[in-house]
Amino acid sequence: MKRKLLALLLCAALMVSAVNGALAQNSGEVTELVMMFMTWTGAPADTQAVQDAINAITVEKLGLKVDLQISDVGAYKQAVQLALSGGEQVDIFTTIMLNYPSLVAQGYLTDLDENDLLATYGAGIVTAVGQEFIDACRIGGVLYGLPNNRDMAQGRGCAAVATEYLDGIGYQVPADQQDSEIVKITLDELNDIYARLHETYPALEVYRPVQLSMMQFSNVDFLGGSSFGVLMDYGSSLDVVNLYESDFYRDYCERMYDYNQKGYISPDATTDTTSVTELVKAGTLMSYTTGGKPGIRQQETNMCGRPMTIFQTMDDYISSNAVAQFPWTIPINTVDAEKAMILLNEFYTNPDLANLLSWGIQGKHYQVLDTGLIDFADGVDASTSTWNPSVGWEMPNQYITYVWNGNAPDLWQQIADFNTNAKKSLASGFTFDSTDTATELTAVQNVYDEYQKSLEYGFVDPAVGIAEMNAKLMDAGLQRIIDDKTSQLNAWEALNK
Amino acid sequence: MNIKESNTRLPTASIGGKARQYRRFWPVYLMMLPGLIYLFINNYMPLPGAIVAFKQYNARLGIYSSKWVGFKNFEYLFRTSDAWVITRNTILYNVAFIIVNTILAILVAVVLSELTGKRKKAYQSVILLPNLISTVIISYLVFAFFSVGSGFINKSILPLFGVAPVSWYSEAKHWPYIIIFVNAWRSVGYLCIIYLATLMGFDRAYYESALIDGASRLKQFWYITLPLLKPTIVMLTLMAIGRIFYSDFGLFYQVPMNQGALYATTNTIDTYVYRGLLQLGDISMSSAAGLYQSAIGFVLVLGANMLVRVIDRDSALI
Repeated sequence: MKRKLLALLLCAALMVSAVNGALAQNSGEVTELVMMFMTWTGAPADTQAVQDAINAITVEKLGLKVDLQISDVGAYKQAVQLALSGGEQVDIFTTIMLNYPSLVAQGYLTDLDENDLLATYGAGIVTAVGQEFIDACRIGGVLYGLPNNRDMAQGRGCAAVATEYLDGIGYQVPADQQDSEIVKITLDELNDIYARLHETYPALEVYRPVQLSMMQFSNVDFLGGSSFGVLMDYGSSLDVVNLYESDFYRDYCERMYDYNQKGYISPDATTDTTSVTELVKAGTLMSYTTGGKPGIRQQETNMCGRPMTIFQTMDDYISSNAVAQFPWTIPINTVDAEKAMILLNEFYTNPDLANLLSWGIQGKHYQVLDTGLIDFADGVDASTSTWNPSVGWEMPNQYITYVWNGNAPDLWQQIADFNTNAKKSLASGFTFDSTDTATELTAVQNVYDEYQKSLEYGFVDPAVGIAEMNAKLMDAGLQRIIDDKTSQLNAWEALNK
Repeated sequence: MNIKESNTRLPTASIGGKARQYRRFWPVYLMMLPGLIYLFINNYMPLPGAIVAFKQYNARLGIYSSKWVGFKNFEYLFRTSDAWVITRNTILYNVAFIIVNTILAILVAVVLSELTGKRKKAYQSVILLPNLISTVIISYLVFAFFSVGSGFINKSILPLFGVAPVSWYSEAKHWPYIIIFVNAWRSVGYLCIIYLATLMGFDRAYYESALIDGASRLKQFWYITLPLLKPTIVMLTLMAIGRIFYSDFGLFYQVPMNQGALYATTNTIDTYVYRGLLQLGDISMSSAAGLYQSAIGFVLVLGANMLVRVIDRDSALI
């Protein structure tokens, strides 16, 4: 049934795009290019207005028009895959929610070095992002995507705790860290804080794990973006190992099991899908795990609706796949790869376009304050704004946009420094081609899904559960994946040394 | 359905006879044409595309020029011991659904057929209601009962009997009962309407003469209603058997809240494929799973129909 529907859709899409193509050829010199990206809630109400404002600039300067096709986070992957496999016109899109290496493996993306595409038409992009980050997006030496400017590093081992409960137990931030946004403490100190929180507020949930928590609280490099075959200790060696047999994983699960035994975690933690920030806002939860970065305290405070304190127990880290996680790409469906690159270059270098994408139209959606920061335009707030997608980090170049009020004025510089100063994986820039292990990856993913929540949310004794899961993972072909990753990593190392 | 009959009447169906038939019934054939064309475009034209299940799909090369990899795309379905679990779950659940739902639907239909007037309408509507509720909403109704920390059963029912709370969403053994119950609650209403419609068409004279002969309600049901219902039961069951390799995705994914700990009793072929391919988005492997289910379903329908024909030729579909 699904296949039938798909086939019909594909036929329809082909016909529509054929008609579109015919029309475009008749309309003269302005080429219309299709740009796809996602927001949390789908196309904002003022998409047309913002698109017109962008076109007002690009038509005059470049003779190009852009058609923004925006999907919500849940539908984006499918929207892109349907468009790509159906041969629809797509000229530039971000690979977020999709798997960049697998798109390359399936032949959907244009080689950006072909005919010196990037060098001729995208020189501004290289300057804006830096050659090092661009090279990190190469797959087998070939460049198919361009990284954007955002927080590439992540502060590992961070916990957000609502400040009012910390006041309630009489906790004092260490004197030397009064002014810092992120308070550095040890894991033992964090456990101690949790114990006192539970003692003082026995009716509240102390900590709520989510599926990302283990990764955010680890020093593990998820090689190629999957947890099957990883580098330990911030990628300081190129030994690919099984994460689930590591001491780190055992300690982590034991800590969660301990939390659960002590009653820190709700018995409904595995089934409740309410976001942790909503739970804090509702006043039932006190703490959760997050990824540290400059501006994190303001971000979490806004989302939770109450002041938050951010603790960090580990280091800042750029994992091997962070840079190439969701580059901007030009698919083979493009009507004109050169013009697509010209447009992309403009988005990376023209602050007017970058601001339009991130913040909307000045005076209508935002206003510039005396401080040089921006805030909602008069009479507009977060709930009434008609262009407030909050996905600046997804856009090509966030660094040339305004900084939102409440953040440090030099936020973008702080983020750039954060990326520079973070620990880097030795495998930075390695991407894993999963074509040969697709079968095994599907099988081990199912095994992991079966055990992940029980173990990582502390509902099962790790002494029993971990061994059981490992036996099944090995049975499902984990060793083949590790071996394949090892050989690809060795080949990559030889090429890049 | 009347192949036997028509064969005996027209022992030598000649070509001339066929032509006469076409001449005579051409308006009927004309009316069939739009449906046939639709069927051809929708169901038959995409069939060659099924070849993608045997390819390593590459967009640049297209479906037909992509690399041929034989049965490699099917391997992941049989890769682990899960293959046995998901196949067993899919088939056993469907068998249970067919048996439980058919029995319940017939009973409800018989009871409803005895009612008259407004009451019948009201019952009929109420019993159909669950069929119209989205699975996501059903999953939260179930959650309201079985939530570990705040559910109705753990908080209100079990304490009455002095039983300790149960971790419903981490103990797989309870779920076969829950799922069969939820499915029956949801589908019986719809199924019983089909049976009810058939029941209403029965000639009342059978029942009147049975009454005169002193047959009890039970006897009437056993010797009149059930035999008359048989063709409908066989047809609906045959259709259900054709889908025995498919599972209602929402029922097995949403209702157990996608809990890993429950996979042993809630993982079916559809949920396994979905979970696996969500990560990879591989067109070829998805097609392989679909093709495998279709092929087995096709064999099962033909097989079941053959069996029916051996037992009772008039009830068989083809």
